[in-house]
Amino acid sequence: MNLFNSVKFLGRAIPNVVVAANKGVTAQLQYFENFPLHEGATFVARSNGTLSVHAVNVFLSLSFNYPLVLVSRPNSGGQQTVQFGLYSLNGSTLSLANSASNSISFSNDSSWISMVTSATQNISPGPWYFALNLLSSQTSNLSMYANTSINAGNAVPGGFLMGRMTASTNGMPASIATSDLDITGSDATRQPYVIITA
Amino acid sequence: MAQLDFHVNFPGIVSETLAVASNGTLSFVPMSPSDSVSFNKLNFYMSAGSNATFTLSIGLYSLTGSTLSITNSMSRSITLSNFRGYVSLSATSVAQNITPGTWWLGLLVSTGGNSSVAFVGQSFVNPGNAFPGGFIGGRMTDSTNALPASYATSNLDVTGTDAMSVPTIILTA
Repeated sequence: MNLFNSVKFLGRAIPNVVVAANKGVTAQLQYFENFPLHEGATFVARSNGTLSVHAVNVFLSLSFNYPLVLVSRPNSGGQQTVQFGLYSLNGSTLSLANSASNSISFSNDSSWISMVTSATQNISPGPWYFALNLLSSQTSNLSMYANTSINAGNAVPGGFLMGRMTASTNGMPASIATSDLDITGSDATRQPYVIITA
Repeated sequence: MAQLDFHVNFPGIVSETLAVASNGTLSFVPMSPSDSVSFNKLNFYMSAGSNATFTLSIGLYSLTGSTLSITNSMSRSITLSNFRGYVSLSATSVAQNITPGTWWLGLLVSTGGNSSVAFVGQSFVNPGNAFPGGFIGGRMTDSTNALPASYATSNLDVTGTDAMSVPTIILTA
C-alpha cells in the first residue's frame, strides 16, 4: 500500500507534502485535558495544603511532560507552590507513580502554572488519578480553576472517583487509602482543570 | 484497530458564540480521535450576520516537534444571512483515514473584510500569561489567503480567549 500521496489544495498540488495515512505508530496524544467543557467552571478557593484526587480516563498514550493548572491569587506577592501527583489505584490504595511541582511568584490575577515532572514517563491508556495540592505563603488561600460540582446529600457511591484529604499535607504521599478521603459534598468532589502536554 | 463512524471533539452541546473570525487569520485547534476515522465530512456550528459571504478553508495538520505540516484540506465558498447552524465541508484534497491520536485543524475564514462570521464552541479561559506547556492550539498573528504547507508553532499567538478557543467539530465518515 502506498502510504504517501501528494496533497492538493484547491486543485493544486502542494509540493513536499506527504500524507501519513497510516503511520503505523503507537497512537499518542499530544495533550490531554480532564474536562474539555468549561460550562460552570470557575476559580474556587482551596484550603492550604488540602490534597484532592480525581479519576480520569486517559484514552491513548500520553507523555507526562508538562502538567498545567490555572491558579489565581487574592493578593500580589508571595511564593505559591503547586504540587501534582499521578496515582494508580489498586484495590483501595492510591499509589504515587509520578509527580510534578513548581514554586513561583506570579503577578497576574490568574496564571497558567506549568510544573516540572520528577521523572519521564509515557502514561499508558486507562484510568489514572490526578492529585493536586496548593501551598501559599500568603495568609489568604489560592484559587484553582475547577469544574462545577453538584452538592449531593450522600457520599459518591461505588468505586472511588474523587475526594480530598481531611488533614493538610505539604507533599504528595507515596500512598493514600481511599477510605481516608472525604468523598461527600461539592468541596470534596470538585475537580481542578488539568492539562498535560507532551 | 477499531474504526469510528464519527468523531466529536466535545462530549456535550456547547453553544457559546466565539469571537468574530478575523479575515485571513488562521487558527489551529486540536482534534484527537480515539480510534481511526475517515476524514470525509466536517461539520461546524457557525453564526453569520446579514449577507455573509466567505470562504472556509480547513487544513488537517500533524505536529512534529514544533512544526505543523499539512496532510489534507477542504474548502468551500459559502453565503449565509442571519444564520446560526451547521456548515458542512467535504471534498477533501485526498482520501485519508485518520489514525488515532492528536491532529490539528487549521481554520481559515476569508471574508474580504465585509462579513461577520463566527464559530460556535467552547471559549477558552483568559489568564494573564501565555500558555506555557506544549502546544495545544493558537492562531497566526499575520493574515494569510491560503493554508500554509507548514507552520512553526512558535510563531502562533497562544495567549487568551481569542487565540485559544475551540469550535465544535463534528467529523463523520
